Amino acid sequence: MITIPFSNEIVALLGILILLSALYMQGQSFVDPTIRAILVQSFLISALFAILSIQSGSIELFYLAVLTAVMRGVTVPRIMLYQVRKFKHSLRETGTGQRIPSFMLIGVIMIIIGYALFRTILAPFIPNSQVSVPFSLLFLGFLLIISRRNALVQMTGYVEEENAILYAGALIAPTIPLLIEFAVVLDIFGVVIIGVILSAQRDVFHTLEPADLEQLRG
Amino acid sequence: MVDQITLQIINVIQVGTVLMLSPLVAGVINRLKAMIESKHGPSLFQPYYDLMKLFRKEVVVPDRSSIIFILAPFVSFSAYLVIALVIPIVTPYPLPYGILLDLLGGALMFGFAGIFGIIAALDARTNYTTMGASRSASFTALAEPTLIMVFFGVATITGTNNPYVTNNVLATSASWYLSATHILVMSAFFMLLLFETGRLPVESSGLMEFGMLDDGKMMEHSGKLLALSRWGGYMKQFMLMAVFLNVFAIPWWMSSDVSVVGALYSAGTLFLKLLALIAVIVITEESLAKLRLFKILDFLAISFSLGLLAVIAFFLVGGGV
Repeated sequence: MITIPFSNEIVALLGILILLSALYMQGQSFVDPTIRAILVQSFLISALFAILSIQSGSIELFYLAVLTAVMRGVTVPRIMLYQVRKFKHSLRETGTGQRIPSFMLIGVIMIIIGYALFRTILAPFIPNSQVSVPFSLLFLGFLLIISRRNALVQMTGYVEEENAILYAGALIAPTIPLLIEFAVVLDIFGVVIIGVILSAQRDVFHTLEPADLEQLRG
Repeated sequence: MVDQITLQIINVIQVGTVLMLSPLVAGVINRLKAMIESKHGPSLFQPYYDLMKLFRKEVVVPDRSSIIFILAPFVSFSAYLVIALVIPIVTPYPLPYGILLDLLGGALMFGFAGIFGIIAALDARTNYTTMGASRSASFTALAEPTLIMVFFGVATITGTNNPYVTNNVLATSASWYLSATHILVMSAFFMLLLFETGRLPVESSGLMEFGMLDDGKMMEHSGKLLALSRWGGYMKQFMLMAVFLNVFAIPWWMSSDVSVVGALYSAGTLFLKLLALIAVIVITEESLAKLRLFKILDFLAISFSLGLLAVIAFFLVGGGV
């Protein structure tokens, strides 16, 4: 076990930076920067896992860090950016998510709600109060999904939630490799399935907004 | 028991530093901006020359304005002088009048000075000053919650709103300095600093601009009144920067020695810190385009979110010892 100076502060700071990246995604009305933000967020989480793994000496967390960087830091954003590039129009959010200041403030309120729920429900069982950060991140992911129309941005919301779940897992129980395997497998499934759906949707309807799928109704 | 005479002399040094150095800071900013734009630029001492020229000129008062128009620059200027007595500029320990105001009180004092500027602008009864007044009032109303959030953030760190305690805590505890709360508070305050001092992503200063916020209020003032307003503006900028540096960003290198030499030493280091901050601000200014007027709301909303997040961060991840 190696001790890093200020490791607690660094972990806390990374947590807050991750929340900030989530808020940035909420405040961004273009699709491209949102995907780049999820890339940055995944790398931040990967760095956090790396620090935790050095701190606790658990090799599983290090695998998790590498897998996070490779899967959600490189592969998933790359696929999504490819979709964006193949598909020139509808690069900008048109729904309610466009109202940046109000949604950023709602995002901050979501963080408060996440924290309050953590305090009231989970705090008695989980001694580490930093688990409230991924809990809040989960709520920010929800907010991103429900406030946007663009399917790619909604997908980044899902990736964000996945980040949050892994983050919470790493903080609560650092040595559960099974969770890692499942997460990665689910990752691949998710990307493949959603990618297929998106491609199909694009080929048929020439749009990426799920609302346009209503044409499918009989 | 420290003798009172030394403390009073230090008081004079502190107010003198604010009075004398604040135009120089403005001059350095303008010169550095010109240098980055590959221009020669005005002299470093141009703000002093401007003030001297304005103090020699006659005062023209609009026909229909009342006594408030003449009084307002004096009131604002004295409010800034009072603030100069109570914030940590050349000392990391409170001076005799330091008990008058804490950070929140200082913010209220700034607000008091600002309100008088707005009232005077309305009292001039012309379209341009009224527009400046309404703009600055509507945006300041949105900036004020951020300021209060910043002070809440400070209060979570130290349990008090006293700037001297904050300075001491941050200077001595690296874990507080690196805590998420402090860094978020610092970034929120930096954005606020850009807004309050009229720097570029928010406002491009100069009188010939449609985007002006604060300068618009002074359109009708002339001569000595304008000189006082200008000088007050320089002092406000200087003191906000000094608070940002000495309380939040760089709380070190202040001599805690209660003596004239110590105070002068701290004034010197403060000037060096100011030069660094000016470099950061000018680079920010030169690399960002001006925001459209209604996008300023976004800017302020983001800085408010940062401030709010700073307070939440204390509960989320804790920090410090």
